[in-house]
Amino acid sequence: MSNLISAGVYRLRYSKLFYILLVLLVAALTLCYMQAIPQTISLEGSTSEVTQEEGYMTVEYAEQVSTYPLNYFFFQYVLANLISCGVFCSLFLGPEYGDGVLRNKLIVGRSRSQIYLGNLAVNGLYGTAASAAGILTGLCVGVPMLKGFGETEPSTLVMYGIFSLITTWACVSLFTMVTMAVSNRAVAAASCIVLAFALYFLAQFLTLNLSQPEMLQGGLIFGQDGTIRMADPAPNPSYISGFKRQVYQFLYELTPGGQCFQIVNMNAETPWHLPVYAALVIALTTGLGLAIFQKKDVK
Amino acid sequence: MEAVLQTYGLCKRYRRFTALENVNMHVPKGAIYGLVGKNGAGKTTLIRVICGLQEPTAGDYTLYGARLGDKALHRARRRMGAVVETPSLYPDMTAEQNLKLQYRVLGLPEDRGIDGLLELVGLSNTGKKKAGHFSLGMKQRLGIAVALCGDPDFLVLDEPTNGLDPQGIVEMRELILQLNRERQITVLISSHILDELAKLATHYGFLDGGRLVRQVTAQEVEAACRKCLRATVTDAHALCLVLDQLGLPYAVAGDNQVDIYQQVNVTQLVEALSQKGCQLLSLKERDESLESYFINLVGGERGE
Repeated sequence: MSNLISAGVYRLRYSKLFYILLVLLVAALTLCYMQAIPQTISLEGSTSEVTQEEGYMTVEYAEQVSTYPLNYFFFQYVLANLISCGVFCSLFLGPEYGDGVLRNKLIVGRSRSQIYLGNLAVNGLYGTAASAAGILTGLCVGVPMLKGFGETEPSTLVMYGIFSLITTWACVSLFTMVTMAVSNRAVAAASCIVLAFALYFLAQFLTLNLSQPEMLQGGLIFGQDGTIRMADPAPNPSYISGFKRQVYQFLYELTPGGQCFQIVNMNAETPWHLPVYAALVIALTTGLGLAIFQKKDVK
Repeated sequence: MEAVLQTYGLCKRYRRFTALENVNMHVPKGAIYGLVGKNGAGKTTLIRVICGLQEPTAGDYTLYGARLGDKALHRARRRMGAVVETPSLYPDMTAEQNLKLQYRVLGLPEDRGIDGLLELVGLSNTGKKKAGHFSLGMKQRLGIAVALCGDPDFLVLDEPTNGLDPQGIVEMRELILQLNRERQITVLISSHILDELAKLATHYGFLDGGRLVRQVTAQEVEAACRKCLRATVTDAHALCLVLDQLGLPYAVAGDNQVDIYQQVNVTQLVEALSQKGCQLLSLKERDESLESYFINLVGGERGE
């Protein structure tokens, strides 16, 4: 298998697609950081108050919004990886079936599992390179532009950095399975890209639903006699509970899209679930992909 | 003779369609084996199966003695190269890069013989031109070069002259002959262009409707296709006696039919036959080519 990986790396060196996607990633992240610069202007002490004049309520609140926007943007590359892995895996492996180069490997006695795992490893190298590019861009461009991470613990950043790599590998594994299972190059590419966006939007949907608070804060009630009081908190009708919540949470943690969102927001409910579920996705998709590929008639 | 490839009752079915049925093929070492058949006869399917691209539905085959399912078969495949249907190339890489990549797949040092291979197939001047921009003939030649990486001694070519111009066909033929003679490479070549195959093959396998209807050597085909006069008589035995007396070479072709492989004085023959009470019913000139041999073979098999 090392020979196949070596051949794949050799091809990667000459792949324009590889370099274009990395450059696009770096450019997109840099653009994000540049657009977030205005958010760093309010970094110096921003507790807002509404002072009371007679007859008015006093409302005091502290600035809850993240004052260090890099915390939000640093792991955005994971979401980009979700899409770019779909594009890369399908287009890079396209010639396997489309131009028949898979035959050159089978004819000289390479086993199907060697070929599949070799392709998976080479795609994994792209995922690793994309993650590394994202992290390096964040450190070299994001940190100076957005004034660092504030009080976020370095260990948290390292933890989510490692999770981002494993989740990217889970994406690679999923798209490699699709590409090796589908003989038609155009169908495989379309399927991967559609799947990537489907996972993205599914994750967005799950995030939206799971982030709904259980209780809605009461508003102000203006009485006819001129009194004003706070209404009691009320249950949020959009809040999902019970078995449905468990299902949503499970999907949120299992699907690569959901994992990406949790990493971007650095707010995983149970952080250790992320690498475990990502490893599970890798194992399941690789197993299924191997099983399908073993039986495939190659033309 | 030692066989490079032997198939035993090989079958391949796709749902309800039978592409191959009970194929028993023997490719001797050092031969140029011509696999002959019409479009849709099963030539490419057979090649795909023996190259390991598809599993047979039933039956078995051995490659250099290694049976299907043995671990030794993977090692035996290292001695094989093939171009199946169309050349398998990376279109965004040059000829040299394609070969280097195949060398890496084989685990061989990259600088071992690539220049010689490119020169052998006539592609040493392609420089930085990407394979996707090659002409069909160039792609075919690069496909053969890729198949020759790793010095195989068994080469499988599926219709290698497809789409080539006459010059390209001649060059391809000369290359195959050179590989067979100089490097002792056994070649299995499938084609439906019989005239071209007749200039190459030492053995033939005739495939029709997924079945191998006959396997013969080139000498047997040549003998069967010799120019002759086919005489139809009322008593073949009498004719044979007359031909023996006249010292003419002949072969009995069937009931009351004899092929005479020399010009004959018809008047003399008729007189000699009438003395033996035998009548000459017809005398036809036959000059059979491989093409007519195949058509008669397939037509005869279908009629049985």
